[in-house]
Amino acid sequence: MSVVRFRRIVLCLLLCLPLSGCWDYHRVNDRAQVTGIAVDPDPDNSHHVIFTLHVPIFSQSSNSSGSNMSGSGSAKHYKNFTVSCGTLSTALSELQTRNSKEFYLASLQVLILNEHLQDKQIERVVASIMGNMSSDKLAFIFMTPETAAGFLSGSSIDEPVDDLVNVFSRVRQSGYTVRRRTWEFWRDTTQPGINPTTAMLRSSPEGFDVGGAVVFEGFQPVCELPMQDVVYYNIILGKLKNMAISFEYNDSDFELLHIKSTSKRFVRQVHGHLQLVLKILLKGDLDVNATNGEIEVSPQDMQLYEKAVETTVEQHTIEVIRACQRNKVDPFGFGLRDMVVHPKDASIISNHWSTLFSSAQIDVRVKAEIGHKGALN
Amino acid sequence: MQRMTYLQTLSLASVSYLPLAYWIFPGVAVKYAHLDALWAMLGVIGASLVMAWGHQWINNRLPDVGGFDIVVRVCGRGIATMIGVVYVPCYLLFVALCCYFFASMMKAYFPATPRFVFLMTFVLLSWRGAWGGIENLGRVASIVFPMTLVGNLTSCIAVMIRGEYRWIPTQVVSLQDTWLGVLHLLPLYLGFNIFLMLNPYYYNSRLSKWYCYISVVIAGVAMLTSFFAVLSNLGWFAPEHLTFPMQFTLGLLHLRGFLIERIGIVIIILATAYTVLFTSNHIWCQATLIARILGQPEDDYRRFSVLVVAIIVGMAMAVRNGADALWLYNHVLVPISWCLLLGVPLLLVALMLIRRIQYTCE
Repeated sequence: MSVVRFRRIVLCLLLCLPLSGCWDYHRVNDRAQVTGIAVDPDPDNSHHVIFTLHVPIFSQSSNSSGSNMSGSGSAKHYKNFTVSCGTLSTALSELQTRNSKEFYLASLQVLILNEHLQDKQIERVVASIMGNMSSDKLAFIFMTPETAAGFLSGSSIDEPVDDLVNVFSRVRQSGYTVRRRTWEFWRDTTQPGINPTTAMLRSSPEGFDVGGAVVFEGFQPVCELPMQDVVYYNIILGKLKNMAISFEYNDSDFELLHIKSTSKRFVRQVHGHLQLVLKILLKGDLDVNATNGEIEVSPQDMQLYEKAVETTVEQHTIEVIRACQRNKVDPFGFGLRDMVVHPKDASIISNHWSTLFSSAQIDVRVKAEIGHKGALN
Repeated sequence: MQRMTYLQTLSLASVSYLPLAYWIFPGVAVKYAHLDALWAMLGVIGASLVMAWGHQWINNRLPDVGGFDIVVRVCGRGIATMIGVVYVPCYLLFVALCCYFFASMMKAYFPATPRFVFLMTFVLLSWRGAWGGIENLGRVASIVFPMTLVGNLTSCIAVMIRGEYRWIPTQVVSLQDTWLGVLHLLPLYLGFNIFLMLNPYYYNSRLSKWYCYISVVIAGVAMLTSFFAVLSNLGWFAPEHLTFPMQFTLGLLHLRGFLIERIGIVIIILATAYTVLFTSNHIWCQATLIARILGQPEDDYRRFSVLVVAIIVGMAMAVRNGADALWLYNHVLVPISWCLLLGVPLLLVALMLIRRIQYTCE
């Protein structure tokens, strides 16, 4: 073997040394993977908030006195660490005195915020997650009127964080809730012409309920959209997928399955008035017709069903937009869209959009298409 | 002298610019041009075509000489030396700042590792590359550049498809804002002058007349794709608030349960290879330039590369923080880029036309 070749091999072997990450090498088992963070107000100190960090313990053998045990089999242990602090970084530093493993935010999956937090406190928490280079900004964000920490330690929930995440990542239907990640929420707080939203989280006999949404002005929660309204909110945004909805028809009702929506929304001036224009296309399959399959559905019936869907969706959509207009919030982003497409109006929209939006006229056009007529007649 | 093929020339020249501002340019565009950021991007691509025309014209006119010797032919040795002496520190600052930005980005992933270690590791690696000479760098570039380009385009398109915003402004709001955007985006092309240095090293064929244009068109496509990937996800306002908007946007890929689950590592490896090659090119370029200014043959560049490496590391270490780096970018590199990329080449073109200087077979 020539000397040159030998030197090259030695050089390659030396290069392998920094591949392990130099100073930053940590064994996975030496890290406390924080998968969930809950933030509640501190009743004793208005400058502080209570952080609860949820850390799963993957080792079968570890069973310390402070851990909460639930379910059976592997990966069912977790520890919750709680501290009252001003910021997330100081909370992590303080909590480190109670844990032999280093807290690590790269596997963060959920962020639960208490509705009673002040807007500055919410801003500080979100900013510290966005500012921390190693934290996962794709964590789902929730707002709750209850104690946020309760959702990370509920005894009725097997692995609370996994369950919450699975609602968005594994379940195909999420029409009754808002799928919002931390970075998306933060992004919307920086943009004029749109109000940020998060999913609403409540406890239920089964553990939790993520139905409904909260709309913000900046970081301040302003109003809540109930579950039924969130369906139409998702229709307006064209984000509805795989939903089933029942529609009234001649004193009876019929049901559509696999509903999917797409939409176009824009703003225009009509006789000096601002008009919010919304064009919705709804596609779905007929599940059970209005006669429960006793009478065969004709092409004319299908057209009448489509007409009924269009009327109902149009009516409810207008109601949801009007509810938002009353609260002077635009979670649909009409203003943002108008600002980007017509940037000359940017300063007006930046400063006066909530007023303009609240007094705007609404023009909704819905087109429904029923693809299959179902298994019964 | 071994001549480089068209792929080697194009790849080598194309990896020699963009890294300075690649990780921050969407934020710079939105910060200065606001909703006219897209027009500013198109404006800077237009400026890059003018720049490409100037460089190509000079290269075609004097195909036998490169870099310093072109200026000597046009202006005489005295003025050329003066220009060269001013030129070298500016370029070293630009390379040092690129190294600083890259080390800062790496430090975000490895917070406990000192920035000095990153700097030393890849500057030494780059030095080793530069030691091998431009022909070797050309061969490496022909592998690294296509891989990086494909990786970058694929990642950006994948992120773009996931984005929510598809809206594009149809009007120019403020020409002043658009101009400010163009002004602050031109440093993206710092390093493009390497085409003048490479001139005698590539085959001068019919196709070589288009090298500069092809390079800036590829860069323009990559930049626009990256820009749209950022806009479709972060919108028109959030990029301004992020230190490295490109890094953040690529981080949104977050593939799980996929073959290339470790996409972050792939991006880091490609970005490292690209930046190391970029630094190697400029170490070679500056060392050769210094050799020629001092009247030494081009092959003597290795002696001067020690000095170049020491100055680059020193300058990069002298940048205390990100605020300092951005100040240097806005207040030093922005005017320098206009001067070096458009001012000097167009002045050379004008002088060559006035003095009727062109290649003659002797």
